[in-house]
Amino acid sequence: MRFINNSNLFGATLIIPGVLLLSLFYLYPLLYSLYISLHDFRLIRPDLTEFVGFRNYFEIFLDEEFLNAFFNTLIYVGIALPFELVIGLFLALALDKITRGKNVIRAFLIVPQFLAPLAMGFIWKFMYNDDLGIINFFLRYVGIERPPLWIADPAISLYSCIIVEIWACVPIFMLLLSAGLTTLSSEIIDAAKIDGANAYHRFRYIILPHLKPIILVTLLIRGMDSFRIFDLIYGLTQGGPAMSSDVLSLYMYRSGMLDRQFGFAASAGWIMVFMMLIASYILIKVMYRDGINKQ
Amino acid sequence: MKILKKILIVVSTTIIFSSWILSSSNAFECNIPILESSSDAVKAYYIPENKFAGQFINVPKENVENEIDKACREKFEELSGAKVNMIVFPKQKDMLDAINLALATKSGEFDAMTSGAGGAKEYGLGGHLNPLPQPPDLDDFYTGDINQYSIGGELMGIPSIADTNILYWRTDLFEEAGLDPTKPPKTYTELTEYAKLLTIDKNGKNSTEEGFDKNNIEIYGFGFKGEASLASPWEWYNYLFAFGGDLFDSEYNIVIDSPESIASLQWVVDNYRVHNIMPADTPVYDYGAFHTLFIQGKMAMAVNWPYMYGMSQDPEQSNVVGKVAVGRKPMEVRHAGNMGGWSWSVLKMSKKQELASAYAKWNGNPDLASYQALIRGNAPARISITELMVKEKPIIAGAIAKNLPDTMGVKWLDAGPSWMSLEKETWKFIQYALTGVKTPEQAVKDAKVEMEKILKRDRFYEEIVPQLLVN
Repeated sequence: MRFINNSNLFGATLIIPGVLLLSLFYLYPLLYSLYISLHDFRLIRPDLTEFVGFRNYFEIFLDEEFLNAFFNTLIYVGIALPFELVIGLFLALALDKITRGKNVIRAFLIVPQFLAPLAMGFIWKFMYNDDLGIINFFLRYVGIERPPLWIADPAISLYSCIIVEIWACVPIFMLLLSAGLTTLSSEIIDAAKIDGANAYHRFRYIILPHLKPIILVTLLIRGMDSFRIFDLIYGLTQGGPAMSSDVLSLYMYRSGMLDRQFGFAASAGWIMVFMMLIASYILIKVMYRDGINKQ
Repeated sequence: MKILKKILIVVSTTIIFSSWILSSSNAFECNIPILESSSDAVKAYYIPENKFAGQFINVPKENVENEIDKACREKFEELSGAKVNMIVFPKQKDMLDAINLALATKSGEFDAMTSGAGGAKEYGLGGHLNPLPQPPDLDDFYTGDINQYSIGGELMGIPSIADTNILYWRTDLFEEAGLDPTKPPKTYTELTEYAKLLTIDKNGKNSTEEGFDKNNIEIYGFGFKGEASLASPWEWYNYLFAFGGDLFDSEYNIVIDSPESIASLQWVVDNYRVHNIMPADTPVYDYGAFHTLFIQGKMAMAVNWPYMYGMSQDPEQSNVVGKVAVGRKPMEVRHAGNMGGWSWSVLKMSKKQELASAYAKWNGNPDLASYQALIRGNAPARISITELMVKEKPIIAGAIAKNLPDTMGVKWLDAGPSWMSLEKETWKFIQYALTGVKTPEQAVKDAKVEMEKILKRDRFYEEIVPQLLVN
């Protein structure tokens, strides 16, 4: 009885199984990957594996392929996220105004979320195809003589992948922001209208601050997902042509599974982790520069 | 309700029982008449002894067993008394990942394995395979095949399927263009000239005619799989070898920057960027897009593996049934092309070496080779089966038979563990050249520098080359 009444001890006991599982399936692989990153680790040639300290972390920045993937990933995230947020917010606000058929429209809009990213990549690959794809067929139909080579032109292939990413992920933003809007009291909006606030003022000073926590969480989650994007690009372009749409996850995959350089691949993974931590910290700081309590 | 339940039980049982009966009546039976009429030495090599009762081996496999694989596995089990556990993976990549993991963790999980062209050499050079004894009917296999699965004269993989690219062309389009459909191009230079006549825009003009609209092409004269994957190098090797180039010289120095090699790549690039005889999306064309374009009737000629012939003659999916001819690939300075295929090997980690070896050898037997070729349409691993196939399926088998003797091994496979890294650099430079980011010459020169670094990193010259040069 005393044990149960001691809430700290009891609580700790209840979470022990979860902590053990987390340690086994999360912490252990994480620490092992750190261990691998400090070695020249050869998967099927363990005799060549040796401790190299932080050499992988330095040498990776001399690898042009890594730098290319690194900057492509920054471009990918830097463009996709703002568009997903803006379009998602627009759709959420629009849906909020609709009274009839809202659920049907919402269900239609979240269809992309039902597709596996790899399948999405393959489908869009055919849609983007110049000869067989529907997009260029339609563009030619409306009179565009030479439609873009969406994934075959190195100048635009990365942006073609970003378009698919935005198409796939806008629904998440829309859903979460839509949910956030339902918690906003209509009385506040009505009061603001009475006080003479126009649509912009209502959005800027009432709706946006209200949605800030949701925007932050969604940006963090989606940001991390975009940062480690793999299957969509693997299905669409395999990182080509000419490495123009190569991203960090694909680089890690190739380093590990093709080049068998697991040390390099693990160090690329840890660099991604640090970058995401830094980006998340900056985002939280910017979003809450006026202090969390004021929200 | 009770009546409904009874009806449901009766109907379900009937459906299940009928399916079982139907599947049983159509089930493939693995008979071995060729083996049984062979010499005692051949029988002794391939037919397992019945002394493995109670034993089992684990074998990883890409893709679900087809009926031939299943029936012949069961035949092995019947003859040997052993059990073979097939562990199926969706793709070859997944299967190899599982094998690599088992090797790295020394789990001893697998006993025998099958792999594509590079597998036996890669794993053999990595010290993960045990050699198989030389089959007494060695001369029934293609020399190129045996060489690509051997290290220092020791056989690391017994061939089960051979493979080679063949030339496809549309006889109806040849006629429309005023070309003789029985006379395909003899050289790759000639192929380009034919392709220019066969590339037709939406107004019916070919690419040599005034007013040809290169932005609205209806039919392409030729194609190339330019994707960032094994698809592009393994098509390019056909042209590389035909132009007189190679990957390594006899001392394993990289020679992809030879004039012949650059010429072969320039030929591909010019076809795409200058002559416009290839689809605009060529840099991202994989096998799927490539063969879809061909069987939809939008490509006049192609170099591809034999599987596409069956697809092109299937009315369910093809618009070109009865309009496709196949034959020997053109030459440039020589008739040459790459060799693919599959082989079976014995893993060193296996604790049941004798049983694993028996199973690997079983999969190389002539009857299995005949089923793979005659029923499944794969290129035959044996000369005798090629002769049989030419009688049974003269069109496709004839084309395969004409191309198989021209085959050369892809020497990147000799690099063992460095193989995939070298392939990666190869598809990179092909794409740099195709997209115009670099000239072919610059692309291969830059790639050579990277490849030399890879070989140095993997100690290729210290550890692998001495094994390769043993003889």
